[in-house]
Amino acid sequence: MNKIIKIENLSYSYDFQPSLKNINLEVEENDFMAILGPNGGGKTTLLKIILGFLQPDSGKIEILGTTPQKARRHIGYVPQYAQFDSDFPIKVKEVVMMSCLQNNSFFPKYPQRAQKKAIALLKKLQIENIAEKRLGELSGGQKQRTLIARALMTDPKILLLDEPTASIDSSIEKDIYDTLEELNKNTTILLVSHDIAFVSSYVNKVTCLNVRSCTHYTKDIKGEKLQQAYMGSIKALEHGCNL
Amino acid sequence: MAEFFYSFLNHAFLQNAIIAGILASIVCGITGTFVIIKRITFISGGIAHTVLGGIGIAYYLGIEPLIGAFVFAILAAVIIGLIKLKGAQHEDTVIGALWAVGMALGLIFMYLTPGYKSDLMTYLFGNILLVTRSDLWVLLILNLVIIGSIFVFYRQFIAIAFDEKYARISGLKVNLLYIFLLILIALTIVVLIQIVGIILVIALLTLPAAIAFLFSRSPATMMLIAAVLGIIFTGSGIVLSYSANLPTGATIIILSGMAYFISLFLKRKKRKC
Repeated sequence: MNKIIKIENLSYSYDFQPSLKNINLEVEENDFMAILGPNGGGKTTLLKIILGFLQPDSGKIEILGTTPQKARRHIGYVPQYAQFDSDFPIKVKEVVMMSCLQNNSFFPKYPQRAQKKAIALLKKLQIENIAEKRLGELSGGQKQRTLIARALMTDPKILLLDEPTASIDSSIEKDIYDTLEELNKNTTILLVSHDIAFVSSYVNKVTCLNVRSCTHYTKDIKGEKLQQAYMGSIKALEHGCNL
Repeated sequence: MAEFFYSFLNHAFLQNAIIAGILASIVCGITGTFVIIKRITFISGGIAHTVLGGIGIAYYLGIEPLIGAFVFAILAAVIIGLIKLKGAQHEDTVIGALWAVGMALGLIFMYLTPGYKSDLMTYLFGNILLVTRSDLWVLLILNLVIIGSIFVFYRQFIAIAFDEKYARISGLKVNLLYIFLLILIALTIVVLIQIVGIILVIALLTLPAAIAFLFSRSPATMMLIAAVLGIIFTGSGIVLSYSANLPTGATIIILSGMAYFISLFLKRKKRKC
């Protein structure tokens, strides 16, 4: 198996307050990994380091065998949608196409190729009917799918999601995870969440993060009955890590 | 009204004023759209007021004040852009300080310049009726430069306005684009200062675009609506102020402001339905 992300003994502090301490993490090809942890546990910091926006104080990080900055164009990033101005006058299709912009993308019109690809992605995510709608007119689930489509526009090797279901009704949450499971067939997925129960039935690895880190394979921690396995695994994680 | 058209046909200064109003409104609609969607009204205000420093210094040195305005506008855009990008903790305070210091510099240098000081009022409140033929050429060239630049970088500017962080991830040169956008806004401000003056410039830059924002589905339509609204406001402002013998800049702004509040009200009503 190829190592997609490899982090060794990585530490990072804000003003002497350690945010991440001796983090070890390995993501292999076609993994579906969840990083779980409480708020303030360093999840966002770790994401910023993986995206190459922060330099770790010590330790090693390698993405696709190179530095985060160089690997960035192979990462499809899906932010929490809460941070957007939903009144922004822009159509869904344009939001999706935006991620393939380059420094020489001049003049207002997107090339036909980009337009076709955007429509194809929207179709794949079952939202082609909203291509011409404004961002502000969408439901939470549609918005999240739009952002996933945008991330997929550049054919990323890794899909990085920050709290993908944080501001979505729990009834739609399952749909989003089903979609991600489908995408996982040919994309490695890494997602950050504080919502333990739901995520554990989809992912194959869980990393608990609370300043320190600890990784588990979900198949190792699943119990006899599925229902109990959820709860059991959470307890096991909590006890096993002592985080 | 009839009286205005009679004068319009006979007086070059009224014709110049109307042409200046049209040119300014076009550029205003285009850059004003970015001011609204990127939410940088305060930054634009900072740039506008700092410009008075440049005007004062140029005045004192006996250079064309427009040149001083250009230099200071671009300097202010770059400095404020860098402050914003650095994410300094008190960036609003720093911008506020630049804003006030620029104005103070302008006032001191104007005070130090011997002679009659009526020009100060013109720079603070503008006077579209004093626009000359050569001013119109400067306006036209600036229009072409600003519109051309935004046409070329349209998609990239939209990308940094919509989601700066994501634009950075996509590998766009966000810092350069951001400062370039601020420079284009600064140039627009210099154009507008002649029409409505430093104090009122932000209103003309933002109000037509803010109204357009309420009714647009894309930044391009927003620009179009804002430009048309700007032409209506400046045109009717000139006619009204000429007939009623009122200051033109202030009349234009009052019309724009009223239109803005009425549209906000209409939009709210529509939402309730």
